[in-house]
Amino acid sequence: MERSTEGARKESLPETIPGTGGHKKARGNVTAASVVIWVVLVALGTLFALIAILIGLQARQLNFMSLPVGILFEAPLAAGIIALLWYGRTLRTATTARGVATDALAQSEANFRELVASAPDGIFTLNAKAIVLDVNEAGEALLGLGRKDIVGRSLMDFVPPNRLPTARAYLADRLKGLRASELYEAIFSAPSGNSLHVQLRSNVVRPADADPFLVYIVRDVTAQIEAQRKLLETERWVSMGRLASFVAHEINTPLTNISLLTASVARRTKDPEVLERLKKISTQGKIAANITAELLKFARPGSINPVETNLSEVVEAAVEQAEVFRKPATRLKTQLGVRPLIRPIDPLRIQEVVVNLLKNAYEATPEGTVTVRLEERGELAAIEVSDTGMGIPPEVMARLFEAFFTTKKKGEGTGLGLAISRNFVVSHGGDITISSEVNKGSTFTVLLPEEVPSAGQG
Amino acid sequence: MTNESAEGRKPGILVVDDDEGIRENIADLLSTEDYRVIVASNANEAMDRLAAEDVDLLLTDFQMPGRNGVELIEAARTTKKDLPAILMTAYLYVYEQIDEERRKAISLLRKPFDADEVLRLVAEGVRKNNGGLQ
Repeated sequence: MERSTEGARKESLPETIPGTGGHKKARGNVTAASVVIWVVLVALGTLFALIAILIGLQARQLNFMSLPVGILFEAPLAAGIIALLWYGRTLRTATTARGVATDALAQSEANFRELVASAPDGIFTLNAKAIVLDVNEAGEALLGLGRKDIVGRSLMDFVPPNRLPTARAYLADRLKGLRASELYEAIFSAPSGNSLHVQLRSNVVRPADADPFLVYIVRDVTAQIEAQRKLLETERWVSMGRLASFVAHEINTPLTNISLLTASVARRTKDPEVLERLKKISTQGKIAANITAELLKFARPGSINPVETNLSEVVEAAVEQAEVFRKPATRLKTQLGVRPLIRPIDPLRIQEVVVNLLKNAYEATPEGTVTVRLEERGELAAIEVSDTGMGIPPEVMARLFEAFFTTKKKGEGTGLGLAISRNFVVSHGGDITISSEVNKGSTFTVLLPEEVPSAGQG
Repeated sequence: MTNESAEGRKPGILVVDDDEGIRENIADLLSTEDYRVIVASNANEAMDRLAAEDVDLLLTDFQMPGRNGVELIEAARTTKKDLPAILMTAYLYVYEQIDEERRKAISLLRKPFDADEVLRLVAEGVRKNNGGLQ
């Protein structure tokens, strides 16, 4: 609010930005006005004094030296001298006082400038058309641009197109004096391509003799929002895990009973027709049992037992295990390198991950090539499974690791494969990354660190 | 296939599960082979049966009201050292959390299981017991 009144005192808008640059000129204007007044006063005073002196001298020359006449004519002279002295004194006192005031103002402005410059929030000064007039350091950092690349541009250049209408509406409302206390949530798209979640408050400054302008105080809350999202996701996974565990456990008992009863009946009959049907019941039971086993693996990946393992052995075992899923027109290439790549892993879990990735690759590649590559990437070991298959459309990509999400036909997948794989790799302290292009193929990369985090629980 | 021991009696299998279906169906299956089946629905009942009957192998569920399966196995072994035991559970982590030394002496039957697995593990346990190999 202080800033509003300060702004209102100042004459021209571009010179009165309450940011870093505008203050010196503003102070210059005030000084010039005062000096003019003082010069006029002093000139008038001096003129009056001179006239008084001249009149006094004239009176002497004309020999009007009788006492009353003398007093009459010398009085202006004395008055002139007194006036001159008085003006001089006042001028000196005033200058000193003004000097003190100027110093205080300069100090206050320096403090203010420093405050703005060092503020943790981005501070943008905009005109009514959203053109940036000034920005502080935090604002520059926020957008990842220098001052010269921000000032003069519209702030709307940094708003993603789909958010432009709401951003413009906010600015218009603010100029109308509305939404003053609102903490406005906005998205900025920095030129680096990063999307920033920001919260902003704004002040409208209305100088008496210039157009109004706005001060946006912008806080980057991207990290908080990301942390919040992760927390929610974790909570979601935990509750899904509980549900999966409950379902699996509850279903397992009747499944076991079906299996035991089927076996009991089979042992009591020799009728081939009955036996054949019992075999079918048993097969169905096994399908159901596999699903509950997947659910349990997802619900509780269990502890991992890391041992120093040659990764190429694990990959070779996985290749062999996944061979049944390879279609005749699909070629498999393996590039396992010459040097053994040793990592502390749970070989069974990582093998399962690679089998899973290979299985998916074969399914996406009815004909073409699937390549398994093993390589060192800095401190990480990378197991890369790439295919020349159909690729993954973006809408599927976004949900790829989501539990129970599947693109497979009913009965062909639980939608847990990748979720379980990711859980396994994450409990090794690693990660799975994906790149894909529709109709060109996909690459899944398992990255494993040199050390497993001490709490190896999944 | 016969499991009769040297004394010419049928090996006694104590089946403990709070689910009546599992209890009866396992009993039913085991009785198709030459086993004598004793059933109990919880750990306390199982301890009573152990005291009263000749038991060669303990087949128990993990999660039951009262003492759990692992606690039952340990209690049983205070009176009957080296009693072969099989733990049934749907949760692999339950088994993984038992320390390795104790785990060696307990076989795992993961639910859902099928008849062949039960028969194989039971036969294995009884054979080891008779041969004194555990």
